[in-house]
Order: sequence, then C-alpha cells, then structure tokens
Amino acid sequence: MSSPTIVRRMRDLPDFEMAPNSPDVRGWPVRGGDGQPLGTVDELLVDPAARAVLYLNVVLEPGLPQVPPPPPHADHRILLPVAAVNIDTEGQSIFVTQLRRDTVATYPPFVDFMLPPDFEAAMQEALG
Amino acid sequence: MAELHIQPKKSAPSPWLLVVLAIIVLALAAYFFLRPDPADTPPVPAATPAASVPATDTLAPNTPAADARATPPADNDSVTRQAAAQPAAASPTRTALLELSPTLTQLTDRPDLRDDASVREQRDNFTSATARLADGDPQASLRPGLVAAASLLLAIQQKAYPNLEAEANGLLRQANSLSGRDATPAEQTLNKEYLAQLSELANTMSYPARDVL
Repeated sequence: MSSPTIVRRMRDLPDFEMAPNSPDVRGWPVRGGDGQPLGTVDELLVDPAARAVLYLNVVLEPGLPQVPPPPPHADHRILLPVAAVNIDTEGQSIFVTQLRRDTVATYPPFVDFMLPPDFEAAMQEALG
Repeated sequence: MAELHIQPKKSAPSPWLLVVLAIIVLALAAYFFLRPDPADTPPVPAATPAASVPATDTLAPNTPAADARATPPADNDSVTRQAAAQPAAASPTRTALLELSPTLTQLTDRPDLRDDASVREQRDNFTSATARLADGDPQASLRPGLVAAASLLLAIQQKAYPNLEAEANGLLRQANSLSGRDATPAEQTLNKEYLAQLSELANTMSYPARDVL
C-alpha cells in the first residue's frame, strides 16, 4: 500500500524554493483556449516528497459568465493540474486550452483546502 | 504538458556571521583610514651644535680651564673659528638660497629647458648642494650651493639666452670668489650682493627668451 500524497501550499514551506528552470508562476494570468483571461495564479499546491508542483490555485476574475458571485470576503477559486496547462515563460502567462470564459462555470470550484477524495476525478472529467 | 519543480533552499549563512564580518571590515577600514600618518608626526628636532659641543667638552664648568676656553685670546684666526662655530643653519644667506631654490628648480622644468642635458646636470648639482643645507647639516658649506646656482643659470643662459652671456659669466665669477661663509659683515654683504644678482638674473630668465632683449 503506497503512502498517500501530502499536498502543501508553497507558502507553508519556507525551506523550499522554485527549482532552476521552473518559474514561480504566482501572480501570472491564466488564459483560456480563446486567450481571454480567466483569473490569476494565487498559490501553488506542491508535493514536498516528489518536489513537484501538482496544482495551481487560481482566483477567477469576477463577472465571468454563469459563475455565481462568491460569498462576501471570499474569492471564486479553481485548481488546475500543472500537467493540464501550458506555461508561456516569455509572456508570463498560463494557458489552459480546455477552458474558456463561457465554460469555466462548469469546472469544479475549489472551496476548501482539504481535497475531497473524488475531487481529482471531477477535475479530470471537466477537462475532458 | 508543463512541469514545475521545487527544491530545498540552500542553507544561508547565519545573519550574525554576516554582522560580525561587516564589523570586522568596518574596523579594518577605519584603522587604515584613520590611523595617524607618519607625515603628520612632528619631526625630531635636529641636534644643535650648541647641544653637541658640551658633550665633547670634558672640562668642568666654572673652572679656570673652562674660563680660559670660554674667552680665547684674539688672534688672526679668530674670524675663521667664529665662522666655524656659527651654525650654517642660522645664516641669512642659507635662508635666501633655500628660498630661491624652488624658483630655480621650476625654471629648469620649463618645456624649452627640461630636455637639455647640461641644464639637467646643473640642476641635479644644485639640488644635491642645497639638500644638505635644507637638512640643517651644520657642517654644510654655503659655497657649493652658491656656485651651483650660478652654474645652473649659466647652463640656462647657454641654452636659451645667448644675449645674457656676460651676466651669467659674471655671476659665476662672483660665486667663485665667495668664501662660502656668512659670519662677518663683509661676507654677508658679498653674499647679499651675489644673491641680488642671482635673483635678478633668475627673474630675467623667468621670461621667455624671445622677450628678453
């Protein structure tokens, strides 16, 4: 039986830093398949044992079509698997071609730091 | 398919270590910049002849022998002895010659004179002759400096002032006739006249050769 993966926020790991040739994408805009911005990378969820970033914690822009407004003093967030995005280092942008502004509402929102057991499957299903 | 990797941070040196190193660097810099310069220390005063003479005098003071030493009988050689007893450092001629020294040296640095071998040689002779006087050497005679100054002006004349030949040769003759002492009023007068001539000729040569008629 393999040990479960422990996912941590990058900001909670002060003894770690980005490896060479791996840009720190926090603050970079996330764009859909049509090139329109969907949100901004707010945090990295990493696996310290594998020394890899697994997910991008993205804060969606307000006013996206069919996305319900977030509760007061909260953001509407989604998680994007790093394996499902393209990183434009020169343009400092993240592209996720499977999503657009008008379809991001169907993507599962990330409402808690605790990942439910079926959350990974739901994300993969939404990304096709 | 993108991949992002993380790595453990490299251990940084302790900030206290950096503080200690900075303090050491500042202390070293302060030491090198604020330490007293040897040139600032007052020079050790040269031993005066008056202080050195009693050291060689073995006669006890207030004795008949010492009194006899203190009042020597007058004879024809008394002037020579007086001149030898007077330190050259107190001589007005020495002071005037040393005051003229920078003027003569700067004169030889002029572009039309500094490359001349004869001028350079005479300047070196003059510098070495006046160096002993400047050091306050009580045994240094004035004559080498006086003659060297005239020889220097003669060399300058031969290089750039052909119409001053009579003055330069006359000055050298005058220098050769000096005794090199500055003890008696007669010697002081001769020295003063010579220095006046020297100063006048040097002043004339301070103008460009084409302006000197």
